Amino acid sequence: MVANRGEIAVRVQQTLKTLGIATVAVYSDPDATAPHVFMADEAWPLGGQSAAETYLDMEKIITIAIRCGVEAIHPGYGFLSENPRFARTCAEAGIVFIGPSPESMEALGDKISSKELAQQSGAPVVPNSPPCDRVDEAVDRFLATWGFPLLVKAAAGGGGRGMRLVSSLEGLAPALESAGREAKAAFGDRRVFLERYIPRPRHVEIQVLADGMGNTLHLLERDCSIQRRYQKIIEETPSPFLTPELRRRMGEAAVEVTRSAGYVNAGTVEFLLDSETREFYFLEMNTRLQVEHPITDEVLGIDLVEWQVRIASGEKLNLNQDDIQARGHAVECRIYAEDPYNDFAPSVGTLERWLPPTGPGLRLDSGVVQGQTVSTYYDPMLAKLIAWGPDRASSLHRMDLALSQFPVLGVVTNIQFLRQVIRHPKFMEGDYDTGFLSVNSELGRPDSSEEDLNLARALAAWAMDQVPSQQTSIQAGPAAAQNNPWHTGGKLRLP
Amino acid sequence: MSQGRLRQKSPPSDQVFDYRVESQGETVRVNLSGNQIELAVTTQGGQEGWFRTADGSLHSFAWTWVGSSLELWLDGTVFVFERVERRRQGERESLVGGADIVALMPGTVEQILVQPGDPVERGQTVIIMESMKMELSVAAHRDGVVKQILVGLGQQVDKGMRLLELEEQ
Repeated sequence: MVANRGEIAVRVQQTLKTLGIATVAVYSDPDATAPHVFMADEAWPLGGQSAAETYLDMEKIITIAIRCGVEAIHPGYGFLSENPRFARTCAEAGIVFIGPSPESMEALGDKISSKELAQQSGAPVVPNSPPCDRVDEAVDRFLATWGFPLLVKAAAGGGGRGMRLVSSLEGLAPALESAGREAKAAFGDRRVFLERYIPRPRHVEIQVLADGMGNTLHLLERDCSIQRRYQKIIEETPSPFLTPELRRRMGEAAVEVTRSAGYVNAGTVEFLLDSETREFYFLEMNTRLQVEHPITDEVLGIDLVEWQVRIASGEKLNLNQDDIQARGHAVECRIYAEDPYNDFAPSVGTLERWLPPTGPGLRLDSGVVQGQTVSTYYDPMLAKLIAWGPDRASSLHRMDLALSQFPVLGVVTNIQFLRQVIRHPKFMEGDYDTGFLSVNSELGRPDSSEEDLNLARALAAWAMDQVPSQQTSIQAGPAAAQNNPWHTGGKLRLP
Repeated sequence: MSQGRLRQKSPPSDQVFDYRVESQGETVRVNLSGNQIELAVTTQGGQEGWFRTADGSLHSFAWTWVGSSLELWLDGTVFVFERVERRRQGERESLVGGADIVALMPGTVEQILVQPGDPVERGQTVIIMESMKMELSVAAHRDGVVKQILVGLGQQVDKGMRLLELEEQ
């Protein structure tokens, strides 16, 4: 069973099918016609709309899993993927949870205890305070040493939720309050803490793989420094910033953290890199598959989900650290339903057109099809476009072209914006950090020339002439939806 | 031949332009406020295809109607237009939303921080919404007094929906 939705539920099932494993999908009401449902051998409704009453509802998911007799559950990322209680519930039901043990999830899932663990294994960490919900003595002590600016972070956090940058004492109490509230809503845990702020760091993470039989490898890095609202939108590997020496040191530190946590399966050790001193600091360990794992797949010619399944079924890693050599370069762009020219506001609607590009070196991990409705219930990521090339310049060039050949209408996306970033001279030089998007604010505006505008206007005038009234196209809506392969596939869908 | 008036909604601009269009087979002649553009358009019957300009450059496109908006994808950029009905002289657009605070994006109402009768200042947070797992603060766009709250806690609201009404102090 894949206990998830969207592109990752599709991605995981693709591997399972390759391995000859039958799949069970679960779905919420708004997802009843989503691709992850129709590709599954069996699909069961969770009943409800919000994440809390569907993909986060352990009871419902386990009940369906038991009824279907599934052998294992892949949690994807997000939702229940880092929930030790869910992993435990699976084990009690005699179902394999494809991921680490609940104990290592507990130790690593909490940002405070994971930093202690990393420190003990010898990795440098960013200084932080104990958990706090108001300005108390521990906060004062932290402020006396490190001062402002600082970050308020959720102990159970991830994805930038429950995180605030605070630059003065006046802003601290409200930030603790609102970060705590957001953390409670997102993770059911309102604990927050303070962390020293490293200005404009690079965010570089190391993929690890451990088989629980003494073999722990690192699978090189992913540079995830292009972020908006602390969320990654473009990732690449190899990082243009790492020297072989730095890569080796970070890889070794990641392996040490993984070993000392007794960690099994695929995981990711995240580091902050100071752009100036090139010092690196352990940030956190993600005890699941990462969104951006495909770029590692592509440069290593492996399938990380396949390794997750093999390890969960007790197989030994038949790879050595020396076998892990990057071939070429890969870059990923996250396609979001959001308006980059309006403060990245989420957008909704029906995907009237969704025509992804194809070609050598391109991969699309997508959770949507043309005709599908995008709602506000879940994360606005629609798909991930991945380009591979023999070197960085060629993979970026492929990505640039692919983004320019990807018509999407009906829902506002960040595709044009991603292309602006990929084409930016500083990005092309590899000279960027997590502050890139806020510093280069000209990227927040569309960059059409007067000539482009005139061509668009002329074509719009022609299109007006093609259809006598808007009614025609409204009638064309349902007809187009009927052509949708997901509607005509004839695959058995269980009630 | 047909003609009309369009407003460009996206990329954001309030520009309104007049057009006159004449098609003869593949050849399309468009007059944009005096500016003459000639295109050779190829489609396979659907709402997508290619066109060549007079200088020989080739462009690909796709378009569709979304409500009353014409959405057009051209070489990687999305443009949105809407038809402008020519108005009689003296007619004015009504100022919708001047007294209201509206949702700038869809989401769920998480907290309401004011009550009817409360004075608010421009920029003051009045409602906290959750959208796609993000917390969003909705601020008053001007000074005033809360006249009426139009949504309830936990309510799902659409973009553009009125959240509360303000009146002059």
